[in-house]
Amino acid sequence: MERSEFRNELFRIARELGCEAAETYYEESENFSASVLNAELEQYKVAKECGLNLRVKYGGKDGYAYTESFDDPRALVCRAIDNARVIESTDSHPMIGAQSYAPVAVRATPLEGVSVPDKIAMALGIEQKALAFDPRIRRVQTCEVETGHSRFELHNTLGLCAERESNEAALVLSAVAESDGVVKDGFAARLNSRADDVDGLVRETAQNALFKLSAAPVETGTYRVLFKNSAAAMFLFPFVPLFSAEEAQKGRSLLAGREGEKIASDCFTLWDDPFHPYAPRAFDGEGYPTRKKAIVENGVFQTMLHNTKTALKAGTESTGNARRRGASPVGVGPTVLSVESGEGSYDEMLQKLGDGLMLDDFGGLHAGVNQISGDFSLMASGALIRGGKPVRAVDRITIAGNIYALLNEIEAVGADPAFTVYGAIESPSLLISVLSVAGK
Amino acid sequence: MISNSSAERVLCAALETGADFAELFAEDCDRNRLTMSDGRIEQSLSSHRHGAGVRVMRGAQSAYAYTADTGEAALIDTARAAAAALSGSAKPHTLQFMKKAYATPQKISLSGVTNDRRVALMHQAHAAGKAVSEKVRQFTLSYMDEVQRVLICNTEGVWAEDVRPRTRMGILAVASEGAAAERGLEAPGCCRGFESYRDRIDVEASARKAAERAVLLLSAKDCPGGNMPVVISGGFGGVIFHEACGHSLEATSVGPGNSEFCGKLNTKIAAPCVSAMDDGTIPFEWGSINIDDEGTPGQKNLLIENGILKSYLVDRVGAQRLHLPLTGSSRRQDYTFAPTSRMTNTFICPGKDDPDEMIRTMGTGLYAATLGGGSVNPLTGEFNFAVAEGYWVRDGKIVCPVRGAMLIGKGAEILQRIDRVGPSMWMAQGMCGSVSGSVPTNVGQPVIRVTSITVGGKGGEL
Repeated sequence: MERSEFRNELFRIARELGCEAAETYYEESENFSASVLNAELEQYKVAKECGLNLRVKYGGKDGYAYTESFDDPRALVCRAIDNARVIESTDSHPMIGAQSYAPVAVRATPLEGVSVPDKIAMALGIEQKALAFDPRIRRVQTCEVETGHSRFELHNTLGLCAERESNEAALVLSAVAESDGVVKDGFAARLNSRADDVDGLVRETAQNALFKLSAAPVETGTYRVLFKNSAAAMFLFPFVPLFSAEEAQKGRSLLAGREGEKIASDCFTLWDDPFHPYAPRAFDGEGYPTRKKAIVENGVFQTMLHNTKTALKAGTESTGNARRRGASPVGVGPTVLSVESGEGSYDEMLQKLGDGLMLDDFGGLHAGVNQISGDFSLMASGALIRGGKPVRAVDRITIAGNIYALLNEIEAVGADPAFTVYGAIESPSLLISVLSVAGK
Repeated sequence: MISNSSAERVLCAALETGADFAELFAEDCDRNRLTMSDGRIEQSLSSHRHGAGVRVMRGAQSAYAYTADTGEAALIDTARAAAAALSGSAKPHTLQFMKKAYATPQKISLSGVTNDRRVALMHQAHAAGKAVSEKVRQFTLSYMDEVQRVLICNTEGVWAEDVRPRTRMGILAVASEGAAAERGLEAPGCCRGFESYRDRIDVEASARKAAERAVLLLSAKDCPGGNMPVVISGGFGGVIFHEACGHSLEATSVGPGNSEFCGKLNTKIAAPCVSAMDDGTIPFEWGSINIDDEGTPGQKNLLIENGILKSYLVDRVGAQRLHLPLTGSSRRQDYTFAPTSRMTNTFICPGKDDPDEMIRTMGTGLYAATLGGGSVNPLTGEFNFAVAEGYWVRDGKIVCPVRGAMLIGKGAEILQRIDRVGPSMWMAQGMCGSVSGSVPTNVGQPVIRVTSITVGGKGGEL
């Protein structure tokens, strides 16, 4: 069945079966990736995905049903109604009607229009450059070129019609360096608008792997620490749910009810920016118009992120942060997060650090972070810094602390923002005045 | 799902550019998820995943294409999209399928269960957990069941159909006192029908356990950091082996030379008291499989015997690279991933040592009663995992609960430093994420002792 015909049938059947309203969230994507190893194509992937998530309002409750085959609209509506029937929560979740949105141009990536053979040739070229960078670079682990195109559509029986498209591109490189029996790997990626920076990618990956060859732990103790830009972003990412009104209303954020309070150093400002060129969008997962806002401004906590449900419960307006993905129900999530830049290049930040540790990678972010208490204990690596200069690489250490304390220990914020590959969040380098480290 | 003749035409299209192997994986999966917050059902969703993927291989080169449209024309397009990765001409092939059908038994079919029964089970768990203490302020339960039906057929004549039911309940308790808040998580699961909750899983006991842990941690002190001996309990403690060794034995890492255990077959990689197994055949277990996602029956793989490395986990691409037989270890999350070598139920085998003696003679260190998740870099073997419930041990005696501990180290070093292995082994359920997505796995071990490991924590002397 054609998509619009399927949708119309869903809406007709939903009304027939007594639903007050119905909404469809449709997602489709086409993706390509090619990876090479030893000057040959190693893996190649061509993907076409699509799925439709139906949300019905039945007896004032929401029920969801998702499908990837568009052949039985009645069964889908019945499943959604069946799911609405068991809802016991009394929280109301509004469905909104037609909205008007700010125009957002679909961003093109540098790999737009590049043919498949040329993408493969690009991957082969990256591998060649990585191997030629230094004789100690022995091989690549991952050398991949990826492109994708996605389309999202939201429609409901109240007249909502919101559609958007996006393009993605990525170059991903991981290379292995070996010297005197020591083996280390380096990793870097270039995303979206930067997916043509082959030389930068190769240099960062190779230098990262080579530098690690000299790595060793440091003594257990407390240190002044610089979180390098993309590592700072990577570190902050697992704590993002602390700013979700959904988490707060479920008793899972210690920031609940603390709007207007000072929670971080004066130099720390965090934006949620839906119009950031990284991934711009004019509406959220409920079709609510998005807007840019500070979550933390000069250290003061400004707002939780809301969808219409959490906003209604809190007696406020949605912040345009409804999250929706695949078969999941409407949730709450950030758009693009951005820590506001302060002053100083990366090298200047090292100077400000003076003596301490620079950390550029963390391990265990999914397990070593307690989102309830804010405690973290993570594997880390980076470099030992003396007088603002790297002395040697450091690995196999852990850092431990609490996010609420750490936000107040931010002494300075750099002007070198970078994204992490783990989520849509960018941060400049952050100088932390004190942190517990376990090593030797 | 797909007819014999359709499958034949799809595989022939996949071979058009000179592949020496082609495989079709078709999937149809129904899943139900419900979440409960504060004793009330908050969300209920059903999903129907449906699609297929075609993989072509020439030597160790592989290409994968997939689509949600399983009509023959779309599948042939998909086969050609994968075949486009190679350039050559078709080799002569005759196809004759050997049909086999598998199904995990279900006494109470998950497809026939109504939402009312799922909801009743969740209320039962909630009531039990909430009764533990007034300090338990928040209880979030998530229930999931799914029945995945797959067809795997390939140009070597494999035609395997499988029905895979699974169900699991996640229980998160949050306890708070003053400004402090802590959590306890339990997530029992089983590879059977709804009878699992009668025969295998006690949701009330799990809910109590989660609640008790959250409350206990409120009084825990911050764990001190440094190098120290650590006793690790059984069950989810086995995640240490999963991370420190298991991932590095997957052909995905070993094949291209990206594992610290490359070239180590039949050599000593662990202390003599360590034997370990990956066994996909154990009935009911969360990580068990009838067949893997290449159609190879699940099997019992002895990985380490008395410290000697005996086997890797080998999928079809790995077999090409390593010239080793398949081990029934090729898995994928769903049709949107090509399969690769993964673990099933992985555990350290029982030994003979007394757990009480392990603590009595350890001096000062950490007793890790429950671990959280972790991760590893197979190339270097550097791993990390979080301690969900830990106790500080001084002069061989347990002193107090500690929180916020993280264990890090290198797999090869830790395996050599295991000096005690207890007599009874048990397992716990987890989801393991890797290149072919998230798959259900069991981890397990008896109580073990590691003579020295780096413990991360922010606490001072206890």
